[in-house]
Amino acid sequence: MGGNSGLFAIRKPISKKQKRILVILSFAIPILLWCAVSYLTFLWHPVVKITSSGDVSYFKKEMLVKKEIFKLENKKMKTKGLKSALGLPYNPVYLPAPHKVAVSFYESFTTPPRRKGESWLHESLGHSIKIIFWGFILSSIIGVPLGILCGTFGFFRNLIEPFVDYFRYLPAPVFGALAVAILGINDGPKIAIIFIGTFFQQVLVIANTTRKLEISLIEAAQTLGASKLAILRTIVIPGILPDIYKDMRILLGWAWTYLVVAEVIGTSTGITWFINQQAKYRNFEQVFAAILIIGIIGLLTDQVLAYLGKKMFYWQRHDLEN
Amino acid sequence: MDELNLTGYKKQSQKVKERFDRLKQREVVLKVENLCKTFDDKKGPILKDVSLKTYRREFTSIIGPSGCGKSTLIRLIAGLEDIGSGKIIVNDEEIDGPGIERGMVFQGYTLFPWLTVVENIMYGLRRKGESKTEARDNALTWVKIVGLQKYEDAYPSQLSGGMKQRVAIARSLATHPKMLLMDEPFGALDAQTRSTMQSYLLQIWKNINISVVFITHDLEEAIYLSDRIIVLKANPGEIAEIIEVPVSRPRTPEQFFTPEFLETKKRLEELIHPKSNEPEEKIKIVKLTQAGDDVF
Repeated sequence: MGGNSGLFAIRKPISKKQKRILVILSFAIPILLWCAVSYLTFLWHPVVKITSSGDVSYFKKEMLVKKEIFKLENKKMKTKGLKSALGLPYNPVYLPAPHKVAVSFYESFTTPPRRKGESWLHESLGHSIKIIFWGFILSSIIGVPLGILCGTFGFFRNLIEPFVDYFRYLPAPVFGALAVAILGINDGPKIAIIFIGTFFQQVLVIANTTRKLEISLIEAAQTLGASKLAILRTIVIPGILPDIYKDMRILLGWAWTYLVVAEVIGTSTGITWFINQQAKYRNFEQVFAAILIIGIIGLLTDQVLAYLGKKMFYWQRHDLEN
Repeated sequence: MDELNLTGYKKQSQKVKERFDRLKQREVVLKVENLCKTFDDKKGPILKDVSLKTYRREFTSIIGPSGCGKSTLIRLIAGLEDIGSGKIIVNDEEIDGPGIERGMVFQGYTLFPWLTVVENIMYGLRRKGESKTEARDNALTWVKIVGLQKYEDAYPSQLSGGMKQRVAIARSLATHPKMLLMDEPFGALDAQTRSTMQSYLLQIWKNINISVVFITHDLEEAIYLSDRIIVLKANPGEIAEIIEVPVSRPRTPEQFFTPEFLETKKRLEELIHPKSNEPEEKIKIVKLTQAGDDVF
């Protein structure tokens, strides 16, 4: 065996079967932990759900009280010779059990919102995706070409990067009020926040990626008679495309984190509004369901993008096929 | 005895002598005049007062110890660096930047990884303004010349090092340059592939009208391939000697053991690793074994 094979070999590939098992485990372990904490009453369960209030005046059925208070009250009742309260160990309201979240997950698509005028989960989600889409697209339309120019020409690098470098340290949320003042209270300022959060990073990241292109490829093209424009068009852009694609996947993830900030600016909307609203109603199952959906959307998008990337940039594969 | 050895590499057979006489009758393709180049003023010039010329269809090698500026010299000829002072004249025209009449093959693999073998060879032709079909037809001829028909639609990541360099050579030659500049093109290849590539290059060179300037640090490679060898010395990079290789053509690997080959190699070694007067530094031998079992 030696140190070169087995599960814990340093920087050696793991077999496909083992890989599949580990991927499943990486999701199964957190879920199992959640189940354990939820269903095994001897684990944690710091509160008590009252099943019968006994003679304790302020206890009510279904009420959640802290274990210590429950014990203290029952002790009082005992010394007074009154009826003790009965209850089951329970978890706090902010940690719903998996099955409850699953039910809520389903119900969030089938039951209408509590109040008229409030949006369904999928409507909120749709709105959020729209905000991200436009913020990210607008940022990319300007940011990617600008980044490529900065990475290719010293002129643009020195003209643009210092300011961008300064600006990216300004947290996007501080522009919230300004964005509302300029763009009104609807989607405008939200898209602007996503834009600000993405754009400045994007320019620098793309510029860096562009600079990583092997200079000898450019030199080879020069000796083959390529003009500057031809080099930009036929060498720089195709050469960095796979890496830019990877950068964009990462940047898209960042855009999602700015969403939360964007959605509390002006009128609260989208998935953030939905989560806050459900938390207000103490519907934590719904909160969890919404968070899960965001995670699933993120994971799926990334997997689809990764798959498409592999298809598009097949020339990067390092295998001899014949 | 010493005297005889020193001049041995200068002795040329009648055949070789006639060849050089004919060579020098041809037009000059490249003329380098009093070339100087400094990157860093503190370190002094990397190339100092280099003058040389190469003739049509001549195979010239540039050789020298590391840091002698041989790579800088070829990059200057290619137009990839700005000239400090002096002149580089190719085909009676002073160069200014890279040009299509000077093809270059680099040490690292510089095939465009997103293009197939044919598309790589088409690249220069397309820049010249050839239509897609025209460029493709021409490129396919070159694919055949370098013997990679089976791989015409393969991507560089699917090729071995030797194949990659063959495509790179074809790509440079497809646009019909006057000169082929090669910067240690076989440096990254294993010994076996390397010697195949050398014979291969000689064959191509023999069949087309091109002058080659070839950088290497491999003495045998330089002798085997070249008409003349320009030897540079380091700090600053100056021409130490220009050697006319006395080995007759066509060259074969068997010639590696002929007296003229060995004499030339000996002279190159003397030039590149000059014997210094300082005593050699002795490496202290540290005893690694505890018990008295001396290994040495």
